[in-house]
Amino acid sequence: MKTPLDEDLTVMYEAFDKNHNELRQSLIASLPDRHRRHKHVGRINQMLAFVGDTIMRSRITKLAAAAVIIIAVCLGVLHIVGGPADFSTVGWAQVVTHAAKADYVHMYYLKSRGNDFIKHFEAWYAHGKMVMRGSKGDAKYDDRKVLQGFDEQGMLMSRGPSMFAEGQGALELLTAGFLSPKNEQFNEQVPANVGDDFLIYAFDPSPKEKDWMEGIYITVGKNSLLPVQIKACHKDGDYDLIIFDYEAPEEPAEFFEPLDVGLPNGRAEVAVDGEQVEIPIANAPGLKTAIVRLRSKPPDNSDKPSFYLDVTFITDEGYRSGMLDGLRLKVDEAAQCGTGSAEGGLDKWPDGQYRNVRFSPWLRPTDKDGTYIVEIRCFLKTEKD
Amino acid sequence: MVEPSDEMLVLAVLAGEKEAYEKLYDRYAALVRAVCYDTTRNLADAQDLAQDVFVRAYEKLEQLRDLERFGRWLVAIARLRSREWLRQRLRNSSRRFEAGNVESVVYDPPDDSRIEQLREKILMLPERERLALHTFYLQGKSADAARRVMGLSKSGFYCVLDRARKRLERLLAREMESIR
Repeated sequence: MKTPLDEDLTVMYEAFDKNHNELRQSLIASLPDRHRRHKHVGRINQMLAFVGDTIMRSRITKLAAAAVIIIAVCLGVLHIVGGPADFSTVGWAQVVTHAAKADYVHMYYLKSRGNDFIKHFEAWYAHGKMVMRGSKGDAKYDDRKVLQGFDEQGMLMSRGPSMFAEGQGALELLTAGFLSPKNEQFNEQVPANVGDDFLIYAFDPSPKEKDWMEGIYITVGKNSLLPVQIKACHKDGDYDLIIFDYEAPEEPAEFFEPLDVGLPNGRAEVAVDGEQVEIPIANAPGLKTAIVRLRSKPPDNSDKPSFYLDVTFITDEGYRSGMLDGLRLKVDEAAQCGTGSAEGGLDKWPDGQYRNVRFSPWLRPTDKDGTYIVEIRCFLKTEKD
Repeated sequence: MVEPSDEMLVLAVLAGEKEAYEKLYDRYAALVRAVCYDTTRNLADAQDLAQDVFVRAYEKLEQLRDLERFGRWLVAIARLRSREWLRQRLRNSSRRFEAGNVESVVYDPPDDSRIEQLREKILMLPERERLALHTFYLQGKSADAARRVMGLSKSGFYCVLDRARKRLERLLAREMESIR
């Protein structure tokens, strides 16, 4: 029932809609286009902008990412049998042509920083999927539909649309046009050096990178045309180095599924619309139990079954967290969440301590109809950022 | 027609669809303006601040970890931006004062006196209760949408909303008594 106060409040709040359409129009017009924003920077920056989001955002990482992309491109020559007689005329375009056929990539990315030599990450592409693993155990999975990032504990940290456009090849995507046959600036480039065993291609940095980058040098086997290494040299003497692994066998399809990202802290079979289930939590200091309930959800246009999950945690002290109810969860897809106390705040626990329960629930199918395995990966954050 | 969730819209924005950001703007702009108004106390400044908030959110969208919490995240940015605005304003007015040129604050022209009174009294509420009113009345009176923005359970949200209304009624009643 509407009270006079309710009516007055409704009228009062209408003021905040004043000029809404004009304001929206001016805001949207002022926003940069997310794709277009990358179009006017240098080629290497384009690649960096693309890969940078999937790895890190530092300038150094971006440079490394650019080098990774170029390495990936070189993998395309894996299938070339034999080489031309005059090696000094082997244009980059030939590498480009074969790059489109590359269906398997495995590379290490290392970097020198002063006296340190650091393994930064390792990446694989096969079966139409990509995996990148950081040196701390964090990983990113892209299955051409969804890009998911996990931290070293297997917690889902990010999810977004795949980096791949419909029908786009891995290398085409990764190079953001760098390997396009229409790109005469690079494609007509011939080796800078022709040695007894290797061809070396040298690429100048784009105007955007020239202040800090010396150049990118790609070494290719003379007879096999296999890339051996990519070296991205900085002007300050540091460099990024990418090495290919041709020795290791191709990883199986399961390797590209984010199934083995850390063991869950707890798991249990839960019936849809059944009783709530207590899941004992292990290896997550401060957390003892998760209480979950799985509820059916009206069908949507999703390609996978989806449900609502209600989750509450009990701490070692017996305190109850807030209940996150109605988390939409698709089968075989993780979600990421966080919750504070039952009182509704991160520092509103009975003892006044700050606690933030971070968790990734995951739904796995079983053989039984209407029953799923709920996996919980979680940890208790006791300090504010 | 089912409205797309915040998560879906944020994903679309991240994929480069600006139209999705328009939808998010329609969904939250009034709320953000109300949150900014709590600090600016005038609508024009609140509108300007809200525009800044949406620009900042757009620029930092990749940093949003839980996409479904876009509304809550946006309100947090609005509060942060409002605090920055206030600090800036205090610095400026102190400089103006030193120079002997104190600028008076421009308030919006009063409309209906009852509504004006209500607006004043809302500013006297604790922040949490004020936010409960903002979210409820500016999210289509949907307790579910409002409680998500506040990060509360449904019952927790109703509790805060009820407290806000009762306190507001008391403040208004007291005002009426003093007039009599």
